[in-house]
Amino acid sequence: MPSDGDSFLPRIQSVFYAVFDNSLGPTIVYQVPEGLIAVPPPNANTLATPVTEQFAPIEPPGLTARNSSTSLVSPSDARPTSRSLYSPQKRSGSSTRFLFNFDDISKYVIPQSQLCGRLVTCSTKRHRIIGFPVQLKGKYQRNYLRYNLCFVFERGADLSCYEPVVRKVSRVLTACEEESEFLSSPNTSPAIHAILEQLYEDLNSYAETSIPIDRFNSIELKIFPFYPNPPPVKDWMVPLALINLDKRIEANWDLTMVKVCRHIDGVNHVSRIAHLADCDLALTRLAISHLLYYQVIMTIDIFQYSNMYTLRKNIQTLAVEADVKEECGPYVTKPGKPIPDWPQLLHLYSRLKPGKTVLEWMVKHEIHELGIDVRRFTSFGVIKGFLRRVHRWPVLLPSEPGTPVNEPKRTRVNSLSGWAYSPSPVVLPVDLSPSQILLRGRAPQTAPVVPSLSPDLASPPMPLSPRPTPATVSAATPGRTRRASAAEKVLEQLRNRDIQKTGGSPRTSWIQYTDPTIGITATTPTPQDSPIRAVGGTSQSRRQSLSFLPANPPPSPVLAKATISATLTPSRPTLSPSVSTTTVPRNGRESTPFPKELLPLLDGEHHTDELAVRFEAGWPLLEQWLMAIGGGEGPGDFGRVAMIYR
Amino acid sequence: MSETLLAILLVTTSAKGSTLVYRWPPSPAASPRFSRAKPDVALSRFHIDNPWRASHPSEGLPDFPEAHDAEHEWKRPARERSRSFSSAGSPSSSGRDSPKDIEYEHLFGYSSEFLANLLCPQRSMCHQKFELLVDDLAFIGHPVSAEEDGAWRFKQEKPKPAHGRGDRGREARVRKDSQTDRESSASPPRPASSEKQPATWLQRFHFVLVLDLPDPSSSASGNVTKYFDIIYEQIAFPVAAVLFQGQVLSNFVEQECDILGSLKDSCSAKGNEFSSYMIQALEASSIAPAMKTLYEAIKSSSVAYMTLHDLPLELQLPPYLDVLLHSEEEQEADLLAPSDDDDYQVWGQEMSFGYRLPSLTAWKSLILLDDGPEDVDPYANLRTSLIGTGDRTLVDGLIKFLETATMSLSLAEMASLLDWDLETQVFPTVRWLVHHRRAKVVDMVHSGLKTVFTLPAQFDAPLSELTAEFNKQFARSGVPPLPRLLVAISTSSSKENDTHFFASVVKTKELLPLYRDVVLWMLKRDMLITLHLRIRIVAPVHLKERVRHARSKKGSGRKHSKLRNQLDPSGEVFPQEIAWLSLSPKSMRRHARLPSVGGSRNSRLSELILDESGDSDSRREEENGESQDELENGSEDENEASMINDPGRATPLQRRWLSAMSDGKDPVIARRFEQINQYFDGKKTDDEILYRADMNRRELREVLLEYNDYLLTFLHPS
Repeated sequence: MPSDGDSFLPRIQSVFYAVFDNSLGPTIVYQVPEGLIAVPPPNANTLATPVTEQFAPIEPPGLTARNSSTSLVSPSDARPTSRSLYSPQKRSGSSTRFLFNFDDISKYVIPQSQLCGRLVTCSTKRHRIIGFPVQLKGKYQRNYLRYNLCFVFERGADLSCYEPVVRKVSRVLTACEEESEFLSSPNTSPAIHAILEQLYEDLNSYAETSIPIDRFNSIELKIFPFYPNPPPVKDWMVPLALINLDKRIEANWDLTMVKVCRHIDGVNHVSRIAHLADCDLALTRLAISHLLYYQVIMTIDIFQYSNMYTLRKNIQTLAVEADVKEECGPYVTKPGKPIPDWPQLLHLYSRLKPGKTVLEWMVKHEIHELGIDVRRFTSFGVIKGFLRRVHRWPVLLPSEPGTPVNEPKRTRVNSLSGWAYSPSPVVLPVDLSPSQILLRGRAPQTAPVVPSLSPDLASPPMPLSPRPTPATVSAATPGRTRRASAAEKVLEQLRNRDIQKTGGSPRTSWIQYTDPTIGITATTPTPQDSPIRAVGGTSQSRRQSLSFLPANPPPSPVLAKATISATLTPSRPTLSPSVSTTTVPRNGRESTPFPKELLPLLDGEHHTDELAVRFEAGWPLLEQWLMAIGGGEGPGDFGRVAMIYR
Repeated sequence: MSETLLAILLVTTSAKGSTLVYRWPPSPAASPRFSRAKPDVALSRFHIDNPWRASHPSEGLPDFPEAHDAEHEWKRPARERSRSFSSAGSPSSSGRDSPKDIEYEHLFGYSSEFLANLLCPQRSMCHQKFELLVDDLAFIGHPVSAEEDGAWRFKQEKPKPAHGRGDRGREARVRKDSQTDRESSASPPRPASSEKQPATWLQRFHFVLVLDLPDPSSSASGNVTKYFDIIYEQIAFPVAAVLFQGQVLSNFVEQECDILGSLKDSCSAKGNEFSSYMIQALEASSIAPAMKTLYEAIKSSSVAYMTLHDLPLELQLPPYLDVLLHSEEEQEADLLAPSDDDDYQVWGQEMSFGYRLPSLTAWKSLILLDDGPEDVDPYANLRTSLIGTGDRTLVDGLIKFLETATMSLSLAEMASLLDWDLETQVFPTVRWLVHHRRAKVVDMVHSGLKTVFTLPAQFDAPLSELTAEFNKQFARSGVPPLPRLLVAISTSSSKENDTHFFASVVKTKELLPLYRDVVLWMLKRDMLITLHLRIRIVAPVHLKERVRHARSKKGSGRKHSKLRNQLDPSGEVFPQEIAWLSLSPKSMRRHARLPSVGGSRNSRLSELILDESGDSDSRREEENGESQDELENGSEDENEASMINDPGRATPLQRRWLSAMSDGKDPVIARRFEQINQYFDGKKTDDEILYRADMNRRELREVLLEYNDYLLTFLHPS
């Protein structure tokens, strides 16, 4: 967000109350502070108190109590007033001590009836006057009463936050006048001066005020600082707390907000938060957008090992910034590991390029040996603003003559075909990454997760055994009404396992090394995905070697507590062979089915995070779909689908 | 594009009152506003009957067709506006005029007379910026008035002829220039002008822009004010200035108003349609078509070419002005970030905001945009407009400049080719061309297209449109479709080598000319970003150790010296150092108290006087002062690698590291490294380094290769 607007509220230079005088025309009746606005010398007696005599203290009966508070504040007020007196003096010699001449603007302050009932802001050379002229019909001499209570500000002030205030003051005064002729009766109208005083002092000092006027009416005002609207929240955005939200949650908060806040950890994306919190997606978006509005969170991208990043321009200044330098190492290094020096980290950042996945980068630079937590590493750059996510934007090209559409040209199915979306029972590669499951957020609560799956998870040979068929899956999730796809079912199980693994508690202690200075309060223990998903297109052997990578963060305490942790982690190396075996029977299969709704979205305007969240399919699955759509020849080749990185 | 512009008005005041003389478009309408938030269709289903939903959990949501919502959506009644708060007295509803009269007499729900009166402020408020906001309408302009005696003349008391304010715009210069032309050609104008206007009825006039007040909550605080200011400076003020000048010199505005006024009266009397009056007015006067042109140009975000009082005017708003009104996506924050002071100076004040210009430097190049408004030949228009000035050589020079400019020629090279001065001739020309949207400054592209490109995060138009356009242009030439090309470009930078465009896309020399066109096409549409190499120097631990070791060895040889602050006499490697490490803490502290560069020299001398070797020259003394802070924090640096942030201003210790890097290197390359390492600050681009060091790319590459261990390279856009 650009210059996050000055949260300083503009200072009121002057408040004045003007009426249409029957003989004089537009006249200022009272102004606070006195004499700042030049008015023509009063040469006729009017029903209003002449400006020069404004000090005549007329205490209306109902206002004494309030006035005590006024007098309390007034000393503090004297200084700024005098200051505002001087500034015009310096510049213009002619209108020495006045802000401006009332005559200049009187036609906008007490305008003709067409302008009454509208918020009118007019400007002089150095000031801006905002008011809400009102015309009331009634038993007045001219059959109407026109008045206006105006606020004067510096010319450059942003008055957005005062607009509702001006409207409300005018509304209350109108009500008072209509009920008891508060403004027009000579008995009560002098009270307006006191109201002006209090408005001027309270709003400038406290930005709020409460002015009782009569038994029924009072002016209750609070000025809220102005924030610009936040950018629209997308389902694939990952909110990241900038303050400790937990501490701020109060019992009377909106229920959705409370639920949503609990899942803001810098890892979960909006759609997943909605499912985790069991909230409607639209309401979740609204809640996130609300937090964004108050600038207590920011959004980053979904971390996946298949992500790509690139440097942004401001690396050139941020690279030498002391706080970036000092925070980076401690933040991105896993606990207990030596902290790499900044030049080394900088070098690693500089090697993140479009077209190169984080995983490839990790392999190349042997990140695992450095003890760097890659998710934190990338998000640090994104948060600080020198790193930018490069998205994949698939485009489906029109078929060229001679190329069969959607016909799989490959006979050899690569090892990943196990990921294929298929209506038939799928044998699953075991190493399904958690993040895929994260991506297809379905509320975990909808399924009785733990009981149904724990036996499965507890068995060490699980990875080698064929995964349960859809039938078992549906049995495991009885409450579900809609079955979207087989892929979903498959993912469902894995997600369940994931839930098991994370133990449902997003906070674990390996987060505790969060560097407080960065102001990121939340992190999660689990990596968004395991190496395998990014391997998408790489060869089997590569993959095998990768699966040994400690790309996952160190086992979290939670993991250790969970019963399955022992079985899960060591089982990984044994997975690769199993994957290859599972692929064997699939050789010669037809192309992978894909949702038809995907096709129109391949126009280069939707990136893969968006598609992944929308179709609840992780990148490896999406990659399969895209390959099937494009008729690509395997890893990295999407055929007619052009994959633009930007 | 100014999405908020609603109408342009010209109002005048005479003794008889104020009149709305002309407006464009004929029937402007403000966009409807809601006093409370418009219900979000997506959320509306949450507002329905919750008890019912709670009791029917399984049935899900009933069918609530979206159309249902749309149907019940509140629509602003046609003439609702005028019936406001205190509804009575609004003339549009009271008059019950025929629709025709309403067209003639009403605008935005107000009577035109009322509006004219509103917009013609007091005399004391004239000759200054006018800004009036009424609910959701903003009126911006610069009212001008005749002198007290009713005569129109320039203000005498001010040094500048017209208004003395904001005389910075180019248009203002045009005005001044033409004014001086007139003044020099005619007799002294001021007395003349006041004499020749015995009686004018025109007292004040005001050229007003009516804007739809932008939603302040969609942008950062203060942006709306800035937005109005820019519109005022770029449009309202220049037009007012030109009109004022016309009025002062030849009673131009009054004559125009007479024409328009009588035309309106006659049309109205004859019962003609209002639209026919508007059309006739366009032919009859010159202000009317100018207002139309201006309105249309602003709405279409192009340059308005208009003529007022025989004075050609070119007005435009910054192309990215409307960005101010929207909270930007993150990526755009970069673009909006205030540019360097240098940029500000190079581009000038009026182009400093909202143009998103790259910095104008000698190592950039220029591409011409041929999609000018009028014609195919980009020069023809220019030629005709310039030939009029009679300056043959200037025209020829400019044409030659335009013919020379290509994307692979830097401005510095152009300057030398044309034998123009870079600062005083080339840059102003570039500025002029860019301001008139005839050219664009881009990063220099290698003539063999061996430039590394990447794609911007966003394109200006949807990809499908761009692809179609691309096909139209290049389909027959055998270039792969645009998405393929983009894929090739976007994957190129991840490769280990051959990341440039030639290697990843072009591949054969024969295709070079074709792909030059492709690159040009893409550059014009902001679809390519040149990646620049930036270099930083790292001093690794082993280097530091080596330096320390070498130093302590040298230092030990001198241990016996009675004087501690011994200078190193033998320093062929480190000629400018003092044996700091052998200083006692006390004397070090004493040094530390000295001001750094160019400080009090005498105090230092008092110590140096003791120096036996006596070869302290002034340069060394300067170093003394500098090195202390580095000695202080340098000690902790010793154990880990650190960056030399600004090698151009390296501390002595850093300089020692730098020279130690050259140990055992080829002396030719080492000398080159010494020469250019000052530019390795991570900010200077490769183009800039080559330009400044006057080197070629191969030489730079050799240096980078040779010193690979000590360098960090970054590729990112600038």
